[in-house]
Amino acid sequence: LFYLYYLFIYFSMNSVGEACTDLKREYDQCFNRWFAEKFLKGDRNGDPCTETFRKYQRCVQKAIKDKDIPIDGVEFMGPNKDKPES
Amino acid sequence: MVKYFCNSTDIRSTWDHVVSAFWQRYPNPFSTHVLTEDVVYREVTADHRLLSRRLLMKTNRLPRWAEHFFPSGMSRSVYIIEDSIVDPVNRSLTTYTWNLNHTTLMSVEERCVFQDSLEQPASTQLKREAWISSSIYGFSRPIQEFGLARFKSNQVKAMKGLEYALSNLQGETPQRLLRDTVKDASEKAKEAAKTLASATVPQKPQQYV
Repeated sequence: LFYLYYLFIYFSMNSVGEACTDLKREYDQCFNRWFAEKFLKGDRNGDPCTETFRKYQRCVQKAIKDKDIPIDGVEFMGPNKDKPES
Repeated sequence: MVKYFCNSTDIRSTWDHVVSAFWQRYPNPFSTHVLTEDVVYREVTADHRLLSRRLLMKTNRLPRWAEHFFPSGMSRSVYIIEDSIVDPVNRSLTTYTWNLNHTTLMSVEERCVFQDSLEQPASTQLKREAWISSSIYGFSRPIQEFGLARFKSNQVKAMKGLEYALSNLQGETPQRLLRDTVKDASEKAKEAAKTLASATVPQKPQQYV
C-alpha cells in the first residue's frame, strides 16, 4: 500500500491524419527532448529527429491534401507583415 | 472594421520553461475544443532560430443566432495556423496565429511575444495583441462582439492550458481542475492506509522533464 502523491493521466493529441497519430507522437517526444536539452542550451550539434520528422511529414502532408486543408502556399507569418511592430 | 485588443501579463515561470511548455500545452483540461494538432513545418535557421508552423483543428462553436445565417453544410471545424519563432539567443518567442477558414464569418489574428520579465525575476512577460474582424455586411458588430468575447474566453483557457503544461513539466501537482481531485484521492488513500495493519511504503513522486 502506498501514498498517492498526485494523479497524472497522460493524454496525447491526435493528428489531423488519423493514420499519422503514432508518427506524430514519436516525433513530438523526440523534439521535446531535443528542444529542452539541446536547442535551448545552444547545442548546435544537429537534430536527432530528422528521420522521425520526415516519416511524420510524409503522412501528415498527404492527409492535408486529402482533406483539402488550404494551407499550401500560405506565407510564414504572412498576415503579420501588415501589422505594426508591437 | 477591425477590433484591436492587447494586454500584457507575467507568467511565473522562466522563459525556458514557458517555451518548452508552449510545445506541450495540448491537450489540457481547457482545450477540449482543440481536436488535432500537427507540426507541418520546422526549420532551424542559420542564426539558430527555430521556425515552426503548427496546424490546429478546432470545433467551431457558434451561438444559435449566428448558425442561422450560414449554410448548414458549412464545416464545423476551424483550421488554425500558428507560426512561431524561437530565438534562444535573444530569449524571445514570437507567435502569430490566425484562422484559415471561416474568415468571412470572422477573422481572428493574434500575435504573442514571450520574453524574460524585466520586473519579476524568474518570470516571463507575455505581450498579446489581437485583430478581430468580420466582413459580413449588416452583421459585423454583433459578430465582432461575439468574436471578441469568445477570443477573450479562449485566451483565458489558453493561459490556463499553458500553466497546466508548465506545472506538469516542473513536476508539481497539476493545478486547477485536477488539484481538488488529487487532494480527495490522497486523503482517501491516507485513510485507507491508517486502517490497515500492513506497513506503508511512501512512493517517490514521478519526475517529469
